[in-house]
This record gives sequence, C-alpha cells and structure tokens, in this order.
Amino acid sequence: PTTANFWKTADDAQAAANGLYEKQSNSEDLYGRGFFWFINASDDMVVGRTSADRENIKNFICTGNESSIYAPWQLHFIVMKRANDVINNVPNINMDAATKNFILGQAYFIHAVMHLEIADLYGSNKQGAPLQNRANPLAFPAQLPSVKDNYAYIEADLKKAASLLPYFDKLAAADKGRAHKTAAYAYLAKTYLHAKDYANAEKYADSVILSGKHALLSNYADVFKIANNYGSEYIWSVASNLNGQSILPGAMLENKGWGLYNGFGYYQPTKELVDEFEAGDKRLPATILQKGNSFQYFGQTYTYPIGGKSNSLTGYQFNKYMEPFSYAGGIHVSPNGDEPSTDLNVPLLRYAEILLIKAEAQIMQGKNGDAALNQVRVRAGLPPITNATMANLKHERRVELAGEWSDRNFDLVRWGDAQAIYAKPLHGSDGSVVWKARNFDPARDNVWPIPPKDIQISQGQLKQNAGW
Amino acid sequence: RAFAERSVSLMDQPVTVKFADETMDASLEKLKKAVNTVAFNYKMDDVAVVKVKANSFVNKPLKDVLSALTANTQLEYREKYGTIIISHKKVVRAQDKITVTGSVTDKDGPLAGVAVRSKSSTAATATDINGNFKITVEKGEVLMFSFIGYKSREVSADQSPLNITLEADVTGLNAVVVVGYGTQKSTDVTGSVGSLKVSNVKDRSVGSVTEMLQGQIAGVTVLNEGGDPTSGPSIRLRGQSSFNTEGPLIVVDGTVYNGGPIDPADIESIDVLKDSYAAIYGAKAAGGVILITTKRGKQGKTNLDITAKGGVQNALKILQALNAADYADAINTAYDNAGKKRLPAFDATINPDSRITRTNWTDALFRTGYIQDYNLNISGGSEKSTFYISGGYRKNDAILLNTNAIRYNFRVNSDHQINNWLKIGESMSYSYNNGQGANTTSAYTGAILSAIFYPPNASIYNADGSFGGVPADYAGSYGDVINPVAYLKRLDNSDGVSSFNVNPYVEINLIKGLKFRSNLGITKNSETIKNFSTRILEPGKKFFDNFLFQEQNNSRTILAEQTLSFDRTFSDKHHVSALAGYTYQDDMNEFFSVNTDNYQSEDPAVRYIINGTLNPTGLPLQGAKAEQGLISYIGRVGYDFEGKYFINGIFRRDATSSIAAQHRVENYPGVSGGWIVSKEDFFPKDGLVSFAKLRASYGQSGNLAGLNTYFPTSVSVSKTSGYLGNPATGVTGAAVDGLANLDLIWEKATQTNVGVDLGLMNGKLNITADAFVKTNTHFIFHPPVAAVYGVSNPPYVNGGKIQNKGIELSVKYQGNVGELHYNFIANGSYIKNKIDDILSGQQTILADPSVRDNLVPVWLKQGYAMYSFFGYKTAGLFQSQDEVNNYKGPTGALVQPNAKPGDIKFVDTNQDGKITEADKTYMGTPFPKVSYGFTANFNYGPFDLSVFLQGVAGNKLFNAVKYTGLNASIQNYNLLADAKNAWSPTHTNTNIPRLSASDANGNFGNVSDFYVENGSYMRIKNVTLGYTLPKTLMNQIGVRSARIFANAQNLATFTKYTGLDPEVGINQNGVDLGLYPQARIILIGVNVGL
Repeated sequence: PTTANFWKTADDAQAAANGLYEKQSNSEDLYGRGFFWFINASDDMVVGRTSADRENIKNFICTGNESSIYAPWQLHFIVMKRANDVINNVPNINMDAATKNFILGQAYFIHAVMHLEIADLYGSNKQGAPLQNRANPLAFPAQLPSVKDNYAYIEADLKKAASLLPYFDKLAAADKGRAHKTAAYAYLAKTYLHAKDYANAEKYADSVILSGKHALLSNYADVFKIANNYGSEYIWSVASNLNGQSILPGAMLENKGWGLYNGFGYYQPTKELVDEFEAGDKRLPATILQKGNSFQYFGQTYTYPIGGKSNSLTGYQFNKYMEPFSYAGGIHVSPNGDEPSTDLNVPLLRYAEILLIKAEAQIMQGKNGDAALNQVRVRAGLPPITNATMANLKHERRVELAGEWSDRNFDLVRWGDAQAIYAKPLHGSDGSVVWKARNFDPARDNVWPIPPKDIQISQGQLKQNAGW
Repeated sequence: RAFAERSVSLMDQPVTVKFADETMDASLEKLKKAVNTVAFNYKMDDVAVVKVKANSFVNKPLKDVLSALTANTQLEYREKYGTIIISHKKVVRAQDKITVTGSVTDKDGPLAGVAVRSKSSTAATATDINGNFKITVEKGEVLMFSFIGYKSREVSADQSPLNITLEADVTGLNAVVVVGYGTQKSTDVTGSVGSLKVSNVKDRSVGSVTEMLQGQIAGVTVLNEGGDPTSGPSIRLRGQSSFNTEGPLIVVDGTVYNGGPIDPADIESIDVLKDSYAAIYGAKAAGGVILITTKRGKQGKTNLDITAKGGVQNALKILQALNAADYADAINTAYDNAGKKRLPAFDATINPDSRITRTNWTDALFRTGYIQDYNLNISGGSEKSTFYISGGYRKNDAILLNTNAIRYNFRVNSDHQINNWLKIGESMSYSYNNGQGANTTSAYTGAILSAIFYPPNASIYNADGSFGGVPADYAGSYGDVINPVAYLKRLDNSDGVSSFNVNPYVEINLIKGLKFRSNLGITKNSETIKNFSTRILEPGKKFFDNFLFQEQNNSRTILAEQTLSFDRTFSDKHHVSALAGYTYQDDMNEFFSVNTDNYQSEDPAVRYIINGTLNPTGLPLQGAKAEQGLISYIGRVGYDFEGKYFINGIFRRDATSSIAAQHRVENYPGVSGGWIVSKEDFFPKDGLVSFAKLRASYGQSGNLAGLNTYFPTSVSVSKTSGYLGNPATGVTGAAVDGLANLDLIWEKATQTNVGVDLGLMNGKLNITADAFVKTNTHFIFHPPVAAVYGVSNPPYVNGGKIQNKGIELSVKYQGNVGELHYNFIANGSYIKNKIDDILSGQQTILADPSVRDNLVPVWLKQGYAMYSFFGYKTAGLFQSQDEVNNYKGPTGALVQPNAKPGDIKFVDTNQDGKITEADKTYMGTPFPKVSYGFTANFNYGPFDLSVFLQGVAGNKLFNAVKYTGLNASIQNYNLLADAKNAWSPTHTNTNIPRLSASDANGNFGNVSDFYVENGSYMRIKNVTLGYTLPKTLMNQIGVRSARIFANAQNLATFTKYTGLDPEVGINQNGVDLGLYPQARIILIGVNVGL
C-alpha cells in the first residue's frame, strides 16, 4: 500500500499502532545499546573493551556524530513521527471507539517516552530539545526554548495517554508489552521528577502505587527472570524475545562469552559500585558477578571467571541479565552472533523505581519518604531507616537500579553531583585504576552534543548545545 | 526575335583565354571570366575529372573554344536560353560499351556484397557469394568499389577481368554510424559520436560489454568496481552530472535494452552518443546512449567460427598484515600509550603463544583462478535471407577462494527480404548469468579486512579438519571477527539471471526513400537469488543458527516502436532524411522472498526451503510489484547540401507514469550542424590536411534514474515487525516512513558541443576533438534530511544545477614499414565537474559511504566537484608535548588539549582556537579529471600484436583501510604491516600517528587528509600476440582460417596509491575499504574459421 490508500480502515490503524513498537524492540540502537552509552558515562561502569568512540563518549570528548550516538538519536525521532502519524490520522477512521482509544493512547504514550529520553539528554533550561510539529510534518522540528517546554508537552501527552489507555490487567495476553494506564502515570511521575515538580511527581507515583496493580516481588533476583517479564513489578520494559530484541544482556556478557557465546563485553561494573552495597544487601550478588561467585551458564555451574580468564577490564560482570544464558542448549538466547537478544524483557521503568521516585519527591518537598524507601530496603534484606535524607535516597537508587535503564549519569547530572564524582578515577576488582579521572564541566556536559551532522544538514536550524 | 539574334552572337562572340595543363573545371572558371556575360551550367563531377591540355585562344569564337575543350571527352556542349550547358554526350555508341567481370577480395579472401557502381552512369551491381561481379559500362568509365569497413577504390573500366583487392579502413570515415532509430554515414554525422571497433578488443575475456569499452572512446569513463566476478564495471559518459546513479542508456540493435549480458563475441560494433544526438532517446538519455550492434549474417558461404580461450589469473597485490609477534607488540604498545593495563592475551609471559605466527591470512584468501571462454557461431545466407547463430560459454573461477561467475549466451539474428518492398527479421537472445561474489565492501565484515584483522597465531583449520577460530582462551581479546577463509569457503550464494530478449521487426518500403519500420521488443528476466548461511561455531563470533534466503525476481519489458523514415537526394545536391516515430514502453517488476532458518542438516543436498522453518526474525516473507509506462514521440530531420553542409534536428516528447500527472510530459529538442571544409574549393588540395569537418550541436535530454522503483507521488507504506505479547511473538505492522513530493518534475540535461574531425596525410592520421558543456538541472534525488524529521526516506526533490565541462581528443594513426602494418589509437578526456546549486538554502549534503558509520568523508558541496572529499587539513604529527602546548587559539587555550606527542596536528583553518566542522576543507574528488587510453596494433606477416594502456589522473582516493588497518583503538584487531611505521619517540620521521588503544585526539576518528591519496594510475591493461597459420596449409586440411594467440591483462600498474588497487570504481565514491582486487590474467586461445 501507499499513503494514497492507507489510513482507511481499522486494520490500517492497528497496523500503524504495531509499527510504533518496531524500532523500540527490534533494533540494537534504541534499547539494545542505544543511549546506554550515556548511562555508561556514570561511575557505575566502564567501556569493557577497546572502542575508541565509546571511550570518548564516557570521557565527554565525543563529537555527537558517533554512530553510537547518532543511531539512537535518529530512531527516537522516527518513532515519534510514527506516533504523530497515528495521532493525526486515526481519529478520522471509522472504527470501534475502544480500540481507537487504545491505539491513540499507545501513540501518545510512546511519543512521550521517546520525547522524555531526548529531552533529558539534549535539553536544558538554556535550550530545549527538538520537537516535531505534530500538525505539520514538513515543518522543521525546531528546538523548544527550554527543556521545561519539552516536559510540559510530555506531561500533556501522558495525561491524554493515561485517559485513553486501559489498565495492564485488561490487556489480552497477546497485547502485553503495549502501553497501559499505569505506565503513563509512572512516566508522568518520572517526568515531573525531572522537571523538579515534586508535588506532581509524588501525586503520579501515588497514582501508580494506589492503583493496586503493582507490587514488589518478594525476591529481588526474581525481577530479572524470564518468568517475571510481566510480573507484578513490571511497568514498562523492552518486550523481548530471543528472535531479535534488546541485546543488552548479550552486550553485557563477557566478551566472546568464554568461547561459548558471542558476548560483547561492554558495560562492566566498577569497584565503586560494588563498594556502594551495604553488607548483607541481597542485591549485590543479584547485580554483580565477582571472582569466585558461582553461576549457571549454558546448563553448567561455573565459577566466575570461567577458567580463571576474563576479558573484563574491571574483573566484574553485571549479573542482572544472566538468567537467559543459564539454560542448557541456549534455549532462551538468540542463535545469531550479531544479535545477542534473549527471552528476558529488559526493564525500562519498574515498580521499585516508582517507590524511589515517590520517596525522592517527598524528601525534596521536605516530607518524610521513609515508607516508600524502606519497602525497597526491606526487600533487599536490609534494616529500614528513619528520616531518610537525599544521601540515603541517592544510595538506594544507585544500588537498586544499577546497570538498568534508569540512568545514573542523568541522576548525577540532575542532582549536581557529576562533576565531583567524575573527578575521581574508577577502579577494578584488584584495586587498580581502570578509568582515569574525568573532567566534567556541568555548564557543557549536563547535556550531550546535538549531532553536528544534523546541524549541518539542517543548515543551522538546529543549534548546538552550549560549549559543544 | 531579339533573343535569337543575341543567341547567335553569343556562340560566335570572340574570346581570348589561356588554359594550362589542368582539369576542365579550372579551364571553365577561366572561360567564365573571359565571357562574363554568358551563364554556364555543368556538373562539377563531370568536368573535374577531365584533363585539359595547355592551349591559348585569341579572339576565337566561343563555340571553337568549347569544341576544343570537349574534344576527345565524353562531354558535349549546347546552348539553351542563353546558357551554355556542358553535359555527357547523349548518344551512346554501342561499340564503346564494355562488360567488365572480375572479383573482389580482401587479404582473407573473397568479399561478398561489395557495391560496384559507375561514377558517371547509373550502372551498379554487387559482388556475389564468391566475390564475383559483372557490370556493363562505357569503356573508360570509372568504377567505384565500396564496402563498409573498407577503403573504397576507383578503377577505370578499361579491361576485363578486373581483380580488385580492398584494404580495411581504420579511419572509419566510410563507416556507417548507428545514431538511434537509424544510421548515418560517418562523414554525415554532426554530433559527437564515438565508435569502437570490436576487433581491437576481441581477444580479451571479459565479463561484460562495459569492460570492453574501457579506455576505447574519449569521454567514456569505465572503472571496474574491483575484481569481484559478479560485479560489473561502472560507466559514465562525460562525467557524473547528477546525484543519482546516472548510467548511460543501452540500446541493442536499435532497441532500448535491459536484458542480460551480451557475449562480446556477438558484437559487431559499439557507438556512443555523447551529445545532443542522444536527445532522440530523450527520456533516459541524460547519461548518454550506448548503441550496440550485434553481428548479422552476410550473403555468401556459410561460415563457422570458433573461438576458445582459457587461462589463469592471480591477485595483482595482496595487502600484508603484521605477523604474530609484531601484532602482540603493537597491541601492547597501544595499551601502554593509552594508559591501559596490558591484556593477558598479548603478554608473552602469560601467553607465549601470542608470538607464534601460524597463518598469513591475507595470502590465505587468494588462489590461482581459471578462466574459460568459448564462442561458436555460424553465419551466412542467400541473397534473400541471412542468419547469424551463436552460442557462448564463459566460466570465471576468480582469485578469492570460492568466488566465480558463469555465463551462457545464445543468439539468433536473421533477416529476410521477402520481396522488393518487404523485409522482416529478428534479433533474439537468451543468456544465463550466475556467480558467487564475496563481501569486500563492509568495513566490519569485508573478507579482505577480516583477513587483516584475524590474529596470525590462529590456524585456518584444526587438527580434526574443522575450521579454526581465534585462540579460545582469549577469544574476547581479538574483537568481533570470523575466520575469513572459512567465510569464503562456506559461501553458498547464487544469483542466477535468465534473460530472454526477442525483437522482431518488419520493414516496408512505401515509395522511393520512404520506409516504415515496426519492432516489438520483449524482454523477460528471471532472477533467482539463494543465500545459505551456515552455522559458525569456531571461537570468535558465533552463529548458532543457519538460514536460507531465497528471492525470486521477475521483470518484463515491452517496447513497441513504430518509425517512418525518409531518405532521398534531390538534384544530386539536396540530401534529405527524416524520421518520425512513436514508441511505448512498459516495465513491470515483481518479486517475493522467503527467509527460512533452523536447518537441522547443512548438507548441500538439503539446502531447500522445505527443510527449514520460516525465520521468526523480522519479515520472513516479502513481496511487491511495480510497473511504469513511458510513451514517446520522436522526430528527426536531416539535410545536407552537396555533402558539404549538414544540419540535423531532433525532437522527442516523453510522458511517464512515474511522476505526477501535471508534470508528466516533457519535450527534448536537439539541433546540430556540420561543415566539411575540405570539400570547399578554397581548401588546399594535396596539403597535409585531406579531410576537415567542423561540427556543433545543442540538445536536451532527460533522466528519471534517481527515482528507482519508488513512486514519488505517494509514499509506500513500509511493513514493520516487532515483538509483543506474553510470550513475545512477532507482530507486523505498518509505518509511513517517508514524505511525498507531488511537484517533482523531470531532470534535464542540456548539452552544447563543438567538434572537429581531421584527416591528415591522406587519411593516415585522423584526429577528432570535441569540447562540451553539459548542464544538469532539476536533478532528481532525495537529500538526507535532519534526523529530527523522523523519516528514513526523505522526499524526492529537484535539485539545482550541476555542470560538466570537458574536452575530448582522439587520434588514430596508421601506417606501414614494408610488411609491418601498424596503427595507434589514443584517446583522452578532461572533465571539470562543478555543483553550481544544490537546493535553495542548502549548500552541503553528506554522501555515502561512511566508514564503520563514523567517518563521512564524501560531501556534495556547492561550488565543488560532486562527491568531493572534505576533512581536516593536517600539519604532520606533534613531535613533543611542547608542540602540543604551543598550539594555542586566540584565547590562549590549547587547540588540541587531548593530543599527545605522535598524534596528528589538525589545522585550525578558521583560527577560532577549536577544531570543529567549520575547519573542514576540500581534499579532492574521486572522479578522474583525466581519463585516457592508448592502443597500438601491429601486423607483420602472420603475426599480430596489440597493446592497450588505460589510466586516469587528477583524482583522489580515500584509503579507508587505514582507518581499520592502522588504528589500534577499534577492537584489538591485527593491523597492516605498515603499523610498524607508526610514530614512536624513537621513530619520528613518519606520518602514521602513534599506536594507541584510545583515540582521544581523533587521529583516526576525524576525517582528514591523512586518509586521502593520489588516485592516478596507468595500467597496461592488455597485451595480445597472435599468429595466423599459413593459408596454404589450412586449405589443405579444409580450414578457412586459423589463428592462435596469447593475451595478458593487467600486466603492470603504475600508481602512487598505497592501497590494494587504485581502480576503486565509482559506486563507493572513491572510498576504498579493501575492495576485491583485480587479477592479472594470462590467456591463450585459438580462432578457427571453417
């Protein structure tokens, strides 16, 4: 079909809605690795093997033209364009109202999630992130005056999405992985948190919590199991399958997987992260493999590292995404060496983070955030704390969400902690320096460079972020 | 009455005139001056051949003078209405008639079909099958023997029998040139038309017709896209003048052709329309037109000709990588320089194996290849019917392991003169083409790069015969690589194309000079693509899955052409030709593909889709159909006066279904003129220059190549795949992944050409020179848009203006020293390309390819040649930290704060203290400014020798192999041997930056002139030595002719380029990623005629 005969039927609307999920789940550049290279800039992990471009990103000396930056940048806008096409065209289609609402809700939600990721990484109070003109796709998608304008737009979209979308438990099994009502609330909470509107952040965190649709799993390690892809803690994940979705598990696996699988060996945890865990925190073994730990790998029990040999720069490996590799015969992992995806859904925003958003929003408002914070601590086998401070909150966010999409680098940026923390070198398991101290200039490095290629193509209509 | 009186006095009037020993035309000029009141009427041809003896007349009556002049000639004079008419004598005296018989031969034997005609009467005949003729003329009349491809001879009919030998003509002046919907005599051509005599290149074994053209015609640039047996060369006429892949239009036997490859042995001649002459093919002719004429039967004896050739081939050059010890040292140095802890894999104390070289991977990829090439044809015919039937087979086992190409050809051409007004015939061909190429253009997985990358301490095979991988214990230290020998040996790709083309015609002579021709060309191509990928289980990069991709592609073209042509000469002076026509073309293409995986067994016997399962990834089933129509009206008128002054006008009107209705129709005019100066009286006879023609032309043609098969007026909705549900399963969907442009119009090329053809030294030396300006406007392309638009397929737009200016020169010289006959043919062209305007508001477009998605060296930039390289200028390497610290901007800040000694110093062109995009400057263009060819042919008795050189100059190449081959910051890959020459504190005299496992300074990550090299080269492309076996001996064993020959291709290359092969081609825009190199080929062969 062509545009001349599309947007006519309910089937067209459904097909266009399905198209929203293609880039999200099927390309390594959106949620495979994608903006994980920016998350990798934090003190939790390093580039695990030689890769000059990626090292330059971590050292804040990248140009913005690196394919690792350009590809996810481009894909976010492709998905937003598709969402806008749905928002513009589906209302005119004569079809069942409930289905139509669900489809439009998905479009508003997906657009908002893409938009938030772009806004966080590229927008500041000095200059907002680019936004497509929803009414006129031929108009140049210029940068908004401030990232606050981006956040306002996202909030409006998410509120529409929340009103149009059904609850997760109303979705048919085949529709799991599509947007749902509490996911929209959850992203509203996150957006308000980033916009520093703590009252609304708390309010929408509560919308999720009070919906009664979600709960922490009792065992932290179970969060990262295939069986719990859509468990009670699920809010929003990369819908995954061994046939070609998020490759993050393979990207984190030991480079070449000790000859058994094509791991990529990126994003290796630092001693700084390991040392952050309190004694007795059940999350440490679930999060990190250390020398001498035993683990299941292709049906056998091994001691890390296998054969005593590791290509890990730090001597550690993330353990969160290792369950798919534990099975004999590799039945839950991709057979394709270029696309090491698995049957494990990689979480993007899970219920524990909502609790932490609520706690942070409360603390920032001068309220007591202990209740939400301690739910997370207690599950980890740790004693509750009273009158939690931002320091407690920061610690808890770091260890609870380590190696996940929640983005510690952005946390450090929004907390204003990045400069001081990045001025210290990072260490490996043997105590040696694996990454030298970095020079982080908040005036510049709080946001990333707009790809110069696009600035050039747009004949300067796009403006570079200050200092880059 | 007064009139009569005057007439009497006219013939009697006294005349005083003096004639020299001269021709009668000169005498008559003198006579005209002497009696300037009297008009004369005669044919120059009649009087110019009559010799007059010196004589003088003082006050003699005019009639006496005229009588004296015409005495003893075939001429007589009379007076009518005050004009003296001199003409042939009306009375034919029977006793002067003579019947001449004889035969016409060339050096090889009798020639059938040679035209024999009287110069002064209408008597004409042709030689029969045995070369014999019989003609009755007046005694002493001059007989002219002419035959295409031979020098004409004039012989006085004084005796019988006459045995005439014709000499082959290399000047081409008498040749007939195909000019589109018809032919013209070479001397009548007013446009720029290049012609190739196929016999010059017949001994080479080539995969395609394009390859034959390389270096043969001025202004035709042919560049091989590497040596991959499955990829044909690229061809551009008069430079690249559009942003799309604007190749020339191919016309075979008068009909636009999109069938399969043509066996070069079947080709009679190739003509190339370079200027406004192409306008007759309006719609698709902006890239020029190549007209191929295949062989047809000639009346005469039935001939069987067999050519067989075979030979070996080897790589011209193989890039070398570091050995194991040097590799380990290089990686250790790189880690030290990056401030990183050394890797155990390369630490000799931990892993001593790292220093043991087991395999030279780049050498291991290559083999000695074999070529076989056979052609057999039978031709002949009677006076009424002629035929040509041929079959050919070529197999090329190429130099990279397991790569090959195979081709079968079959052709039948026949012509039948049913009666004096009706002729029918056809060209029909079938070809099958298949082959297996290798990926050599990916900067990640290309076979040649992989061989450079692969650790030398790994083995090709394990002890058990299975393929070896990287050392398993340290698999993670060698990066993502697969065993390149295993990759090649596992290849199981085929891309078989069956192509059937039939083109019947009917020609009807309506009245004298007026002919109707109708032909219906039908081409059906059927392509089957099969790629089987096996599991890859050796350490390195593992693939546990296998899959089979299969695609079926069917296309069909119908082309119906009706033309009415007129050709007549009036009053022996006015030659008029005209053509009017209507053509209709319909192209249809349909495909489907299936992707299956999970083959339990990989036995070649079970590699069929039935044994697999539908691939669960992506879109395993695809299919589409596209159809386009083109309707055209064509017209051409030509007029020449006395064969001296020529004018040609061309008009074409095209309508296409490919663009929106309101812009669908476009008109293309062309006009050209010529003047044969050497036919003028004032032109000095018997001077150095014997032939001189001036030509000028102007014309327009169109181009839709940029559209591909997409429909620009609306956007195709793409099918998407994704994964949803619990458990996750594949979900397909749809996305509008583009933007449409309804205002798109035709691309237009406007060309002005002036040229001169000169024949010197009685035709021994021929020179053709042309100068042209070709301007493309409204070129169709889709420029990239900023990613923020969110479309993968930007809309098609019409661009601004691109100009090519150029000059072309071709020189032919033939001569002999005793028995040694030789000819030299040299041609060259100089082309200057410039983008005048891209789009309003747009000055730069980044072009393909990129190197590992990081380097984007090729730009389209206003004011510069298309596809030029832009990057940073470098100023050598920093030799010390002081030099780094002293390199400061206006604010005193360091320009390159991350630099260390041994890093590249980039020039801060705009002096703003920072190295940014704004500092990038022009670094040259990959498209050659000058391309040339030189051919020398020698004949001595039974021996013949041909040498052909070809080259280009003025172009640059982007040696992207340096990015992966000298850069230790990618993935610990092995490096080029040249990495030993990298900067170190003790080795400073080099331009290769220090080895480092990081690239903070962007030594490699920045596009700079470090990568750019001179791309000029000259190549001894071909040398052939032949020996013709003695005729007498052959006659005894019943063989008409036999020749044996040896042929060498790509004997030597002269270039400064340091990469694998300077002939990188056009498709990669001069970016060399380790392209499949060309081979040196040695063939021996035999031609036998029965």
